[in-house]
Amino acid sequence: MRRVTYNLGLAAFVGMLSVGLLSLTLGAYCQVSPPGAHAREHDNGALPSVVLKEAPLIQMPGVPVPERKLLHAVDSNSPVHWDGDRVYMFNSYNHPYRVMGADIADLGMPAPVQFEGDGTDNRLFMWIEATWRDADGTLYGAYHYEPDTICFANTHIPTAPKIGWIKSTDNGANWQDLGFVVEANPARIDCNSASPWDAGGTGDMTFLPDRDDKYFYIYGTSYDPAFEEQGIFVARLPFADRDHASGKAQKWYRGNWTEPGLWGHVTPVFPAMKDYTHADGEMFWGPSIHWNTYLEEYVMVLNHAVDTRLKGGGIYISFNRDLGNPGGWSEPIMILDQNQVKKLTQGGSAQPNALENGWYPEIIGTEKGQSDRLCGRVGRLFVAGMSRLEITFVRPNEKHSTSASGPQN
Amino acid sequence: MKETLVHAPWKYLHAARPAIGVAVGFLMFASCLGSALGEQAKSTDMSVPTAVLSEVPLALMHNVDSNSPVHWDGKTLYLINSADGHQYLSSGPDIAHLGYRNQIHLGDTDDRLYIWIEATWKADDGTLYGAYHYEPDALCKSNDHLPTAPKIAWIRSHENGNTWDDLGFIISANPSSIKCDSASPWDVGGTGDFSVVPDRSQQYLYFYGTSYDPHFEEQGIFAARMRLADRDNPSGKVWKWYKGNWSEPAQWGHVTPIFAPEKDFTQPEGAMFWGPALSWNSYLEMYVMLLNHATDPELNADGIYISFNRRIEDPTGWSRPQRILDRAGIQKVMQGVNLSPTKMANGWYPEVIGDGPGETDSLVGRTGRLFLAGVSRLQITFLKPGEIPSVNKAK
Repeated sequence: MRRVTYNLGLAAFVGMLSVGLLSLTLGAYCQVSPPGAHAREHDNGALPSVVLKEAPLIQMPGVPVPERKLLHAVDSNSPVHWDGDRVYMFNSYNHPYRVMGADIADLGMPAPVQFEGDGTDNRLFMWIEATWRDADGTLYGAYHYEPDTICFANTHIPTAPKIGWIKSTDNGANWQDLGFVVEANPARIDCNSASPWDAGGTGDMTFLPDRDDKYFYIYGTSYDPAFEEQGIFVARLPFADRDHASGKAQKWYRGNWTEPGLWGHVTPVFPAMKDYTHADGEMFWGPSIHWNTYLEEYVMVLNHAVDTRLKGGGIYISFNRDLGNPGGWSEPIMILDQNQVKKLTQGGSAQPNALENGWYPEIIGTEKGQSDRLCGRVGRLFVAGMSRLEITFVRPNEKHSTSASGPQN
Repeated sequence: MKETLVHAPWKYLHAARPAIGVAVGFLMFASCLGSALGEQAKSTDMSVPTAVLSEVPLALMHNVDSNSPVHWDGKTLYLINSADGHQYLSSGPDIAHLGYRNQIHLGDTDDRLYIWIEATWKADDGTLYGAYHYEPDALCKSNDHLPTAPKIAWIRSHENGNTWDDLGFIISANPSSIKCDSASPWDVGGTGDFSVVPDRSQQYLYFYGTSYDPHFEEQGIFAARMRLADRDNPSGKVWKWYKGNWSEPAQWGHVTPIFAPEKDFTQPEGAMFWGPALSWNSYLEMYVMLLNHATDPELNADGIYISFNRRIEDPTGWSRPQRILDRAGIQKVMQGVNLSPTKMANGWYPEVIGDGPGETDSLVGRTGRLFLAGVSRLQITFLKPGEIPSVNKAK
């Protein structure tokens, strides 16, 4: 499936803006999809909708980067978990930092996490992009690791990321590295790629378990040089293997979980629209997924790159009742266009690229116990570590009144 | 490079200049007495020189974990040592009288990585060129530097090696040509542990190094060459020697080993030569190669070997490697110094450094210092074919 017709979808969608600068409602899928698109096995074709409403700024603490004069750098998805009355968040910029507090609007100072061992992980560039807390309190996580000098000496990028699996028994202050779980064949790089970031590899991901705790599903981004393997990929790791994960994940390929997580091929869930290795490359990347208790569906928010430098083309959303059915995701629909993104990140002190393009959209539930993987009817939408929007989910066929969403502008 | 995390406290020791021609019997070897390893080396029609080793006062480099290149600027000798993945520069009037070491600055990213400068070459205009062995991290196992798969890059300095411009990778194996279940704790693939010398007509720089390829047929001592004219923009312009020609791209291309392994390096019983150190010997008018010889994939050694070749551009011209020091001889040299057990046992990184003015690790005359792991207690004297050993002359 190719999404070459998004502009048509956008035109239909923009027409549905409700009251206020940033208050908008998504219509049912069929209303915004261009002719010829299909709902990809999603129930009866009816989709939830969302309402975005301005709200007071919540700024993730992020990572201070004095050499760039950045106060709140956020350079990936930022996972959240709770332990009792305390919420923990990880922000990463070359290295993960942990913050904690009473809620996501009241977090303390970031402190770098430590990886156990001989110090190799602490020396390398890594981002913790997803966590999950087990019933016994063990925190599992996955990191995006970017090898150095993949193509050129004395340069970090372009790189070819891979994904490692970690666990912590102290809420993420210290981590044990359990090995790589998802990576591309290291020879599958294109050092002539127009991308300044990625010559290959797989990263920029999230993971969460299915409802039965049988598998963890890792949804991420494939930067493979081959067009047919670029886009949003998925792999799964048996829940029972969470303490011995390396080599146990399988990638989704041609309709089955048949390819090894290490070096195997992928069939993208959302394929690239244009070859990412070319200047005009276009694809979705950097998914963030949560289980929505109100909708009883999984919700994915996505970056949409309109060139190989990952220039933002808006923030998109997709829905799926079954995390284990990669074919079940609805056609991504734009919920914020690029102008709206820029307004949201005005005045931010994160990386200019992230602010300009709205990288790393993420929905975080605001109730106690909710997180970036669990949200109810209302949550916060973050881009580049900043949230100026409340997001309200509306069930299919549910009548949404603007008054129900609270005061508008 | 091995033992990237070994920290050996060193106390710099001054040593007297070697007494040329004074030989002590217990360490005198002629290459013709060596063992018959290196069967893949092509026999040559030349008569093979010999080398005599004689005891001399101790001389120590700083901590060493690779070949240590030397160059001169006027009357000052510069030595580059690499250890723990970082590079250090020291200087002095000769190899036995070097000052304190200073850490070299390679580049913002390079300084964070594990890199060993293993060879230098000084152009007539004073520009110093060099090549480093880089070991990527976390190749097979996360959160571990080892095992790795090294690759080789080219660098340039206008200040005798204190700072460098990184001109890019020039020699690497296909990155998917690794074997993470190799028996080697060090290398699961890659190419590194090398030496560089120019030919006599200064047309090419020749790289002789070690291939740790998972495929048996591509393991051992490999060769590649780069046009001197390309030294300021070399990436993609280096060629590996393969099946009798300089025909394979040095980046990702195949190699045909000069000295192939005796046994697969990826297996517990693996055996091969590795870590060559080359010099032009002005007395012999031949190139001389010193070699480690590993008898297992942990690189335990059974001795130090030597080989000769009149034409460096002919990789088939190297004489069969002959042992000049056995394991007991290595350990005798290493006795009493404070190095890691593997260095003490194996004397990794044998190299000859000329002891005359202007001489280096790549230019040696009739005599030089033989260093093992930065430790020298032996003078090496080269004898032309048929020449009577110097010990007899001294008498």
